[in-house]
Amino acid sequence: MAQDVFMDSWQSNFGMEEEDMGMPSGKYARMEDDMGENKERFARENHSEIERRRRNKMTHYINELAEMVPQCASLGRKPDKLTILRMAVSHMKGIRGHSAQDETSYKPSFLTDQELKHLILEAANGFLFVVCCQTGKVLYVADSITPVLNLKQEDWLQRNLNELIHPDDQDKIRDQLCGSEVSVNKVLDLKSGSVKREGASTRVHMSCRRGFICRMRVGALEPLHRLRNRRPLFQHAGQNYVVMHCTGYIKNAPPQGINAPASSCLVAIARLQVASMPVCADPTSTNQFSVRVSEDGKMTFIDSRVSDLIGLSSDQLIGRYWWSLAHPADEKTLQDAFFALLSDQPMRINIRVRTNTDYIPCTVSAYKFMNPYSEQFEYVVATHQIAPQEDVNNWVTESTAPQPQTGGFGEIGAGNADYGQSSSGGWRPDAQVPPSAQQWQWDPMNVYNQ
Amino acid sequence: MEDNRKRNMERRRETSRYAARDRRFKEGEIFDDLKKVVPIVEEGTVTHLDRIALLRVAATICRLRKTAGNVLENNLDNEFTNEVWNEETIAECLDGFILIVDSDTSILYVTESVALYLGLTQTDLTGRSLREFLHHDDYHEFEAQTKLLHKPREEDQDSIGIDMVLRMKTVISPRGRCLNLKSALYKSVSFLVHSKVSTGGHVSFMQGITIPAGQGTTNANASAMTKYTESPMGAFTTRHTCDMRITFVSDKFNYILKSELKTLMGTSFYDLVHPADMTIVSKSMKELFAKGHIRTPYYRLIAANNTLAWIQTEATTITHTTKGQKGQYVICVHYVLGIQGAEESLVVCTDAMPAGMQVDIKKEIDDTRDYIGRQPEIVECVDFTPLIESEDPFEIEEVVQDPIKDMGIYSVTDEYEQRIYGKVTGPPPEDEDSDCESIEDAGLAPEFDVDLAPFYQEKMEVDGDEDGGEVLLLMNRLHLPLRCPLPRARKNSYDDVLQWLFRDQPSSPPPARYRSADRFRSPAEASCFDTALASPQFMGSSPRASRPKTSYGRRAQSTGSRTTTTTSSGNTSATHSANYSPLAAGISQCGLNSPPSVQSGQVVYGDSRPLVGRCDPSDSSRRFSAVPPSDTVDVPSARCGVREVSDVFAAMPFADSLVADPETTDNGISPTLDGREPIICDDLQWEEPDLSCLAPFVDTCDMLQIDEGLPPELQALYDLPDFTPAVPSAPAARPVHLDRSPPAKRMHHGPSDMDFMYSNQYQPFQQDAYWQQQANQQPQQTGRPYSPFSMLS
Repeated sequence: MAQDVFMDSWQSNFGMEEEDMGMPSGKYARMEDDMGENKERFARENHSEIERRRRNKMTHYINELAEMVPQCASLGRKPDKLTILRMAVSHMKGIRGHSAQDETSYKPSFLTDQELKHLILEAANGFLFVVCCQTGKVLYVADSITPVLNLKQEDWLQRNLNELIHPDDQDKIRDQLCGSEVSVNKVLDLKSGSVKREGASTRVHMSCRRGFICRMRVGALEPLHRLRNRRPLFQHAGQNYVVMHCTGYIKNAPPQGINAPASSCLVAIARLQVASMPVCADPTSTNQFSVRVSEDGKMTFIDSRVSDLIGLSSDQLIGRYWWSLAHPADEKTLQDAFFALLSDQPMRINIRVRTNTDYIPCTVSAYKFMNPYSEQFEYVVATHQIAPQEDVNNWVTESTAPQPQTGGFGEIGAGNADYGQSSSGGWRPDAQVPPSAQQWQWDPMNVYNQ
Repeated sequence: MEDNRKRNMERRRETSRYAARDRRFKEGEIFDDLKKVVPIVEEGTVTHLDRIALLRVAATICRLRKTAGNVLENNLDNEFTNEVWNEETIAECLDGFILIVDSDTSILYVTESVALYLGLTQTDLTGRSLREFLHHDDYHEFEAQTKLLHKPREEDQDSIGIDMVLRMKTVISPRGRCLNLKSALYKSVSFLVHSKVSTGGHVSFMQGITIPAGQGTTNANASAMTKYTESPMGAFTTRHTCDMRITFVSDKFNYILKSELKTLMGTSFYDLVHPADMTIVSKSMKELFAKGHIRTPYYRLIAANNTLAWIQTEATTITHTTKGQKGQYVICVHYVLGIQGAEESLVVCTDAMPAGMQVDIKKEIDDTRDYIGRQPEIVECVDFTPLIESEDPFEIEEVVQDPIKDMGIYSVTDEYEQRIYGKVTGPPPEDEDSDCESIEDAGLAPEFDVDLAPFYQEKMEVDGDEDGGEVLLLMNRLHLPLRCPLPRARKNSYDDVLQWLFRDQPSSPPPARYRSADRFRSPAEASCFDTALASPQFMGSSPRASRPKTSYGRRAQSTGSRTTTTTSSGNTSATHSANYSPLAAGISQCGLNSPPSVQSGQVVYGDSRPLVGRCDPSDSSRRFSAVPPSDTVDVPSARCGVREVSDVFAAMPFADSLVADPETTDNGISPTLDGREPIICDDLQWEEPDLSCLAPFVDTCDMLQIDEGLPPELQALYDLPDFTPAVPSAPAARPVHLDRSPPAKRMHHGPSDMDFMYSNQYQPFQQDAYWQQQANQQPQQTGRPYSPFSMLS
């Protein structure tokens, strides 16, 4: 029956609100063979069901109002429906009380202007600003700029916008403010494929809209807790800049309440999307570098940090086997761990990594990256965390990979080779140097020949 | 009795009816009042706007105030400009909407802008459960994530927020049609969610970011994205197969990665992502394939020169059916946030300003901003501007206004202006990017990006055939001052340069005058040169005025073999007399320096004046100028009116500017007009150009090919000081002694290679009895070796 279809789709998707939707929602799941006289009976019953639900709903809401409205709640017993409603009306008027001067222009709204400003600040971490298109001068900026950028309104007001944004973004801003219609329409076309006039629900013609991402100057960073440990932070000429998303529209004249000569201006909200900024809480993260390793073990990309951390440039390393980065005694460890990783074993090992002069301990963690769509192996991402200096003495080379029990390479497995010492743990200075080590120009064994 | 009961019943019924009507009336009144105070969105609601809805909204408002009042409190100052903040402004500014959701997922508040993006109005959503409007799976995800958010935290720690993509119901189809709520579609909305403690428990703020509703199907968007790759927003588009192999890259990508776009095709996008950020990107990609549209957080791509580009990507999967086959691909729009070096990208906001590290983003990388959104500019002729500026034989009569700014080019640096307009206030400013000594550097330095696109369409007001127009067009490319009221002097200088450069083109008109001569004339004569045409005084100063002389610019010697117009020489070889050597024709073509003879109404080029009658065998100087009039390219004088010609061709540094302006003819001597003998100016001194950069533009196909072995006599012909053969492997490409001294002086150095041309040993490679004759009958000048440059000696 048709009603079953209605009912199923509605009940699966929606809760109890069907009456408000104006759609029938009977409870009848019976399939009748003869629908003739039952239809009418069902219709009547359906209708009464609808009505009943409506009445239930109304009482539900009225009860809720009774709880919320303070006047009602203070009464001893629950007043009758009309009284509750009357009290609710007066309460609502009271909420908006101070701002309603003119009854005729009174438009009820959920939130006051201040509350809206606060909402934008809280939810979107943004503030409103108005910029003159011709001169680039800031005509208005909300005081909610302070929690966002830690700047004062005076820092922005009457300044040229170019002073407040990163120099490299100035062209972009200028295009947005004074761009020709053609270029602006092209921006829109990116989203729509054509420039269309919107329906009645839009109040602003789409071509007036502007949206861009720019870097804005930020004040002292210390009080901005939300930004703690977040990247990126751009620096230029001693100033810090953060990425802000600005969206707004071009108005022909400044909005009401702003003293400014009549010219076209941009009214926009700039917001700081903190959740998009990767967090980096680990203070030692500056001592790490990443490497991309292909399936055969050769390094295909090395983070340029490597030159600072271990003194070797990425040009020297690219194309080499990954384990050639390690101390020759640790090479086998690394190699085994790599192949274990390819067979889906997690990897996090401590080895020694060579620098251009020395060896330093380092923690290597790696994972296998598979293509999200095709589930094929792409590469291995390895992160090398150089151990801080104080941990050096306690350094233990260990590995999570299964260890072959050979004696030639020292500290594998239970080995306890202390850094820089030829101990009984198994590492012997005259151990066989794997041929890959000989690629290096310097003799890595010098350091440890004791 | 029965009647009594019935009447009682009726009366009771009646009273109850009245009472009910009364109640209903009162209820209606109250509801009207309520409607006045409750913010209801009248238009476009999907759900019925009835009393229940009114109550629902009213109840929600009260609830919002009561249970979550603290979240709306703020310690911001009460500003007087309250009018700015209203729902309307928010709706228009924000690129999405904001929800306040209670812990039982009922929506306490949503901005009115939601109607723009989902088609559901504020009234539709207020008071209802969020669950009704989210995709089923996404709702569970939302629940799980917000549970984490609601965990107790320290009071001072602001909630950081969670970035997630949720699919919400929309009742506006991509094409803009309104749908029933029952048949609503799902739309991916990026949400940033964080929670706050409220008096009633927890409250979540959800900021949704999405594109307005009805913005076209994703297929249309996809093609638009690939078509309109130019975007001033600093975004570029890539297209991938589903495993993220790149199938299309917009040009701007190149500026960032500085790798060939071609080599990027087919490579995996994942190779471009910095490995440390791979987890972020991988997670986003997985979400993409589940939900169809995502916005990534900020991550880094590996850019050129050891830099990293911070990017935020919006990716969409597109399913399309072509030729009956269903295909799927991914379109990404990448917004470039900024470019940093590797260490800089690790700087976090708390430790801003690392000690002593002043980071500066490399200029050349950041030029991407300059290029994005701009037309590609072709500034070919910039190389040649210093001819005017550095040598500056011309008077700078007026300081040029700043035409570039007037014309709306705003990115030209001061340096560039100085170079173009000769506002030389001193040596060019120190610029670490370009070595300003070399003109190529100056011309090609990236900061000199001038959008010359507006000028391409401009042609001078010269009618005529396309060739001429084309030449002028090319000249106009550089000829920025043309649009401004500039003094003639400046204009002419550019004309001169360009005309001279293009003189070898078949259609390039000859110069009108030799402006360099200004320097060397007597001051009295200098004033005559404000027209392009040479004064007859100048012309007449030559004692050999009667003798027909060829007019060769100083380039003739060098360009003798370098340029030719194959068309004309090809034509000429057939048509003209056997006395004519095509080689000579080629050479003479190079000396297209004679001004047009205007008076006869027939402007002819270069040496190609009607010399038929004047091919005096006795005059060997005419050897190379003997291009019969049939070979000339006539330029109707209407096209090159005297004035225009002067504008166009003025002041090329040629040995002669031999067109007399009939109007300025003082003593009536117009030697070159009416097909009279060409005048050679003898008393002009040589002017040294910077030859290395003043190569005339000649197409390789136009060059005279000297790849066959030429007899040594002819080889010598091409051993000109400046000669570089058209074909580098030609035997003539041997080191040539670049003697930069003026040819006049050179003449005195004894027999040089050039003399060889005119010596008796000259053997034309075609049977030319005539030329043999010439060779034998060289007129000997008074004790001087003959030279075509005798005017210069």
